[in-house]
Amino acid sequence: MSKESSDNSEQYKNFYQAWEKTMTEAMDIWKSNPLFNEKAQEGTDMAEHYKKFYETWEKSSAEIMEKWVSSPLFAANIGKAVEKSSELKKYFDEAVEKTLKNMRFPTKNDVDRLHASINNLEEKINDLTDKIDDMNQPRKTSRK
Amino acid sequence: MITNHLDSTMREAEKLRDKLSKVIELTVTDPPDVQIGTTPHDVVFTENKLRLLHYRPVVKNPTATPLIMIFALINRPSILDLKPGRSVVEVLLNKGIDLYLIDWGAPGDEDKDLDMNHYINRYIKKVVEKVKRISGSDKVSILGYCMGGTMSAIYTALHPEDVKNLILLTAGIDYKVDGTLALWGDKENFNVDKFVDAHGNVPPEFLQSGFLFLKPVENMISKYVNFYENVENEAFVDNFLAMEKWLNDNIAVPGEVFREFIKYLYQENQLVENKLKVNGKLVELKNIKCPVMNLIAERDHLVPPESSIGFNDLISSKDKETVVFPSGHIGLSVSSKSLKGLWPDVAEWIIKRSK
Repeated sequence: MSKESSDNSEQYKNFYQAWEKTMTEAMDIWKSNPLFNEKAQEGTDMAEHYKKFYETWEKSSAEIMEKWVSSPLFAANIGKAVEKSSELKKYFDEAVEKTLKNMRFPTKNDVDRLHASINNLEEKINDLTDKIDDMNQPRKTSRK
Repeated sequence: MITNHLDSTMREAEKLRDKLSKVIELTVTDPPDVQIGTTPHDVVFTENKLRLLHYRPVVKNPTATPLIMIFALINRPSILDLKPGRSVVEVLLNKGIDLYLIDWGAPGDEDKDLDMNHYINRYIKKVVEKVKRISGSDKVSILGYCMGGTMSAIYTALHPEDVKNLILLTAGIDYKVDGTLALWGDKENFNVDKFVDAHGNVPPEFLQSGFLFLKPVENMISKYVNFYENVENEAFVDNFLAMEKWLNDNIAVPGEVFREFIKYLYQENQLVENKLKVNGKLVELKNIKCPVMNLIAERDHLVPPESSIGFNDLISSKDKETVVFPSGHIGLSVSSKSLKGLWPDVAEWIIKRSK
């Protein structure tokens, strides 16, 4: 068995063990439900019982899910999925860009470049405005 | 016995129906118009999407040295001014601080090439110059939150002459730490070049889903169950809706600055290893000599405390303080505990050093 697949089996094993623990805890609470358990005391509040069941499930589920998302296996898989979807997006975007260019239509990149040029102009205007302000208004007395 | 149990179950079902109707009304059919970030202010400078807000002072003589708050490029800065009574801005203003805030705005696709140099040496530099001009002060104090804290530290290292006091709030400095985000962002797992080359800007949904998955049960189930259970508590509902408004108002992050943050900071830890260059100039944290307050959230799952705690050892300041507060990343700015037990002290610390 390669090191990678052995590491993965370990990850799955940990995840399974955590899941099993969660289910056992939650089922223990559920089994003490007065509806199904004759030994349960009369007068048990059902709402409280369900709440306790939910709280147990929530606590242990949160624990296993956090363990799962912070595992190297999850990180590697999600990273691979993001990488492949990025490749697909890039390929698709380039095809659209090429098609529009061939048809002599302005593309999204053209529009972005135009917007960026306007932003550059705004920066230059801001700098010039500051210079004019400096020349027209002597700076206030310094407050240190 | 079974009849009794069925009766109690039916009563609970009735309560559930009423509460669910209220939840649906508040979130779907008739959601209230929640306003956040409403403290009175003037927009004193704009450039591209950036807006510089100057909060109207509420005292006669605010501090001589103004304070600029620099938020992360992720999400909106309104978390610092969520609503009256839940606002860092309000606490600082009431204490008499002359207060400014950079609202980065929502970047468009045309902003994908904005890099760290542009943010540090253009936007922050320009804002600092503008605030100095408006206030007449030779220096400013800077308070940086999260990624804004990292940028504030970099700015102060590059332009120490501008900064009188530096306050960092959950700022990531040392990225060689354990943590889920560090693992996801690791070179082995995340090819940031391919991602940015394909997407340009980082889509807000990408980051939002990443944050949700850090604590999946808490963020996607427990939070809403808690809302359901407290739906009849008006104060709880008000806070919940304001927080939801902020959490769901996501913005894109310019691709190039994201690439640099992931590659140079997360993956290569260049800031701590003294290798980070911005516009060809080495960022040396030891150049920071001004008074520094480093605020850390003890239960921070986004920026682990270990990522910020060593900062004060890397700088040359003599007047420096680290505060580890028992809260989470967001709780540090919005929890009633921090607004009462931390921020008034932070304000006093700033005022003492702003004369």
